[in-house]
Amino acid sequence: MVQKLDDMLSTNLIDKLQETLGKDQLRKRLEAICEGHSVADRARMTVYETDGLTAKRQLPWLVLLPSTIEQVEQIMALCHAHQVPVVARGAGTGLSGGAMPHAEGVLLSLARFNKILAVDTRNLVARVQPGVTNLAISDHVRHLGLFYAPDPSSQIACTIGGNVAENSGGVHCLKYGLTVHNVRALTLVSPLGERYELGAEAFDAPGYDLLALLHGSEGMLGIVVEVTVKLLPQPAQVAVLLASFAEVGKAADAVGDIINKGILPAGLEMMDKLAISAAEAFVHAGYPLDAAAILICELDGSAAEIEYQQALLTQVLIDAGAQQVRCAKNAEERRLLWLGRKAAFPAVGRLAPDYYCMDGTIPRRELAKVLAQITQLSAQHDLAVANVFHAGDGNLHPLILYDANQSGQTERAEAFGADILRLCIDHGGTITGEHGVGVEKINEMCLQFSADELTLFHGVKAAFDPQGLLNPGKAVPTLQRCAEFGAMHVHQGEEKFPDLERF
Amino acid sequence: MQENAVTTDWLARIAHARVRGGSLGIRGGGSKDFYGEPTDEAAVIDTRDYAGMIEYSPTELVMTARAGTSLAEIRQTLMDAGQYWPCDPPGFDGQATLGGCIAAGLAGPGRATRGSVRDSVLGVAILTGSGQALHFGGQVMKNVAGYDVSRLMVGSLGTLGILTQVSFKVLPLPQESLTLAYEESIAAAQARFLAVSNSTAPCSAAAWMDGISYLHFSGSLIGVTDARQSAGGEIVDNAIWSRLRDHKIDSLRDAESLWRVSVLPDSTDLLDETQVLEWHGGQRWLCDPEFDPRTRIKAGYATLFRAPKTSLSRFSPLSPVVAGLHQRLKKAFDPDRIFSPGRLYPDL
Repeated sequence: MVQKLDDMLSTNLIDKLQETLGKDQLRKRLEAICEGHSVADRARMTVYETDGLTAKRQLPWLVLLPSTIEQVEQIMALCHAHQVPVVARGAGTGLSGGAMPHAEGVLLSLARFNKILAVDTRNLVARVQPGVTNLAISDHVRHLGLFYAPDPSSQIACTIGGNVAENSGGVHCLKYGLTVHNVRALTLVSPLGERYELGAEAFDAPGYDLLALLHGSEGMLGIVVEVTVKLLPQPAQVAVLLASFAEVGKAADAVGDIINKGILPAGLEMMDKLAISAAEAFVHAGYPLDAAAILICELDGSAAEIEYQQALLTQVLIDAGAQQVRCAKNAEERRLLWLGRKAAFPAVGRLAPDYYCMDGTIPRRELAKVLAQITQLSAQHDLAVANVFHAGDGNLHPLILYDANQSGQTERAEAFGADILRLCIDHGGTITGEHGVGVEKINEMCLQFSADELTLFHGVKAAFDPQGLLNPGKAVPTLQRCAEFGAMHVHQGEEKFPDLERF
Repeated sequence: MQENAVTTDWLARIAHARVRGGSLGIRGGGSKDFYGEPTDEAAVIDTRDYAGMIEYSPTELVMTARAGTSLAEIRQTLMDAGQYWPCDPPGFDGQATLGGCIAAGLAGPGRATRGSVRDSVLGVAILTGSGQALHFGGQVMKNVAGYDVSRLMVGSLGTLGILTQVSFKVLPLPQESLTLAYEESIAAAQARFLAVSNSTAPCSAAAWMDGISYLHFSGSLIGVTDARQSAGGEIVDNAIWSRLRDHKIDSLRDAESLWRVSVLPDSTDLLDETQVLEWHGGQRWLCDPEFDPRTRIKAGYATLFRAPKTSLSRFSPLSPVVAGLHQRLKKAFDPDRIFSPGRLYPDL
């Protein structure tokens, strides 16, 4: 028996040693593919250990920074042959840990894919590499009178490849849609290292709509190496209005009134008192500090159209109980009004050592009710919350303030967050509107989806990545994990955990 | 409870087909029976047995209805509330259902500016080939929890599952709507369409047929009036757009073999052979060509939209990698290949 154990140990040791040697050789081959653009040194790797969800950290085995599609093909083929996980990363601004590295895997940074390859002003499309930042596209075509519509708050830093992975929205998606509505085609590399294309520069392509499926797939299905985006002519004029309300509920209800009048604003955002005061202190946008909530509303169109809509909108807002409606007088004032909103996260970040950003979406009509319940939850968990919303599309970003150094606060913040997500599901919404599931909301996926639905998601994943090497452990929980979490969404009349007996 | 009885019956028929190795066609009003590869399923599910509005509150800009609900009812309900479905799918003979519109994924003349069918889809309920009733997406505009199965269903021609319920985004009707006509060649029409797409004029659709270009302006009263002043042309009836959408135009209605070509708006591919140019130039219809249009397209795709028996495939072939993805997805949704086998591609 003792002898046997010794044998086993030494066999294991030899295996381990061989594996290490093998991995060392593999590392050298991967580094050679990238011609030295790689990081294997633990200290230098720390910049890659987390994305925007800084609570979750993990060093990868190796960071690779390829700059050509051929290099990506070779990396993927080699990683597939050696069963090495690969996690793709753009700018790392994601808020759900979707780009958190895998300890045994390659962290594939697409930062060097940063070129705008072609702009077609006749057909209004641009072909860009995935590491190009969101704002760089609009900057690049501004002199042509064009723009790329989706504009997430992180647009100065986030990359278009990451936008595809998360199906990013932004403050203008009520009118102009999400990333999925503004991307025409993708070039991808499969986990086996095969290059393929989805969609077309033209309006459609044959077969299943895999282009849509790839949007919001969080790096689980393929590596995006080229993106063809739709460009739009810039609107002739823009107006930004700010309305202040004495009650949060009235501001929430005003949103429905605006839509009811047939007005489709380019952007419609809401902030509550705590968010207003944080943003005001941070960027001096001129927000009214005595308001319980503000709505920021953007209109675009011809000068005459705007004049008409602005008058109509002002009346709707006043009828809805706005205390004050103010229109930005010039470009600088417009910029300031938006700056306060776009800087809301870092502004709130100054109020407490840590904040936890949620991302639920609910039907608009539930807005006032859900806000009232979030206020109750805030008292219950004894943690302050600042609320920032894409009001036009019901996407909530409650920011829970806490101090990770105070014992128990992190757990309370997480519990508070989980309660908010449950609230969103209960009100007919979803746990994530645009930030993705990543590692952060993976347990809540068990609340939103049944075992059969999760199983189908795993089937979709396997169709693209049979070995499960792309971003393993993210976005879709295993049934076992849901059983351990102790929750599973069950549709009426269905048996509980029908597939879980074996666990 | 009637609807439960219906879907329970469908699940039983799925189970039966699985055991017997049979197949099931999925059919709404049959308005698009001609579309896709010819099939001969052992039995057909009539989705009209599961019809009706589930939820529609105009302020939410979302409608949820059972898949068997007629497109005519959907249009009427929206119209009554001053709203519309932007992708404006064709109803052809008027029998079209919601499920059929989603499964076929065909968009109307305003596609270039108002988006495709899949652009509007927010959530679905489906029955899979494994006999499971599943929900994906929802009634909210933004949702990235899980893979976007809802949009994957659009255009899948009944090969992935039975759609039972669909939620989709709708919009307020434009305040004003106006059609202008211009007598000109197709080349002049193409130039006109390219210019208008690169302007801020509220041009929601552009088409050319029978030697005449049509521009549809819609939006605010002021915006449309402004556009009218500088656009020239002659005002004609807006009805041209629904006639074009439903192929009531002579050339489209009478063609025996009708091809739909999808290319970049400024492409010169097949321009001379095009009978109807729409989607700002990006969609071209060819009637009874004496050649295979696929051989003359440099970049783009051609669908044999309607035809008598032919050896040509209805849809452009897929690249090997993409074809492999299709087969594996089909397996995940419909492992026994029960639903509409062969309607999209022979091996699906």
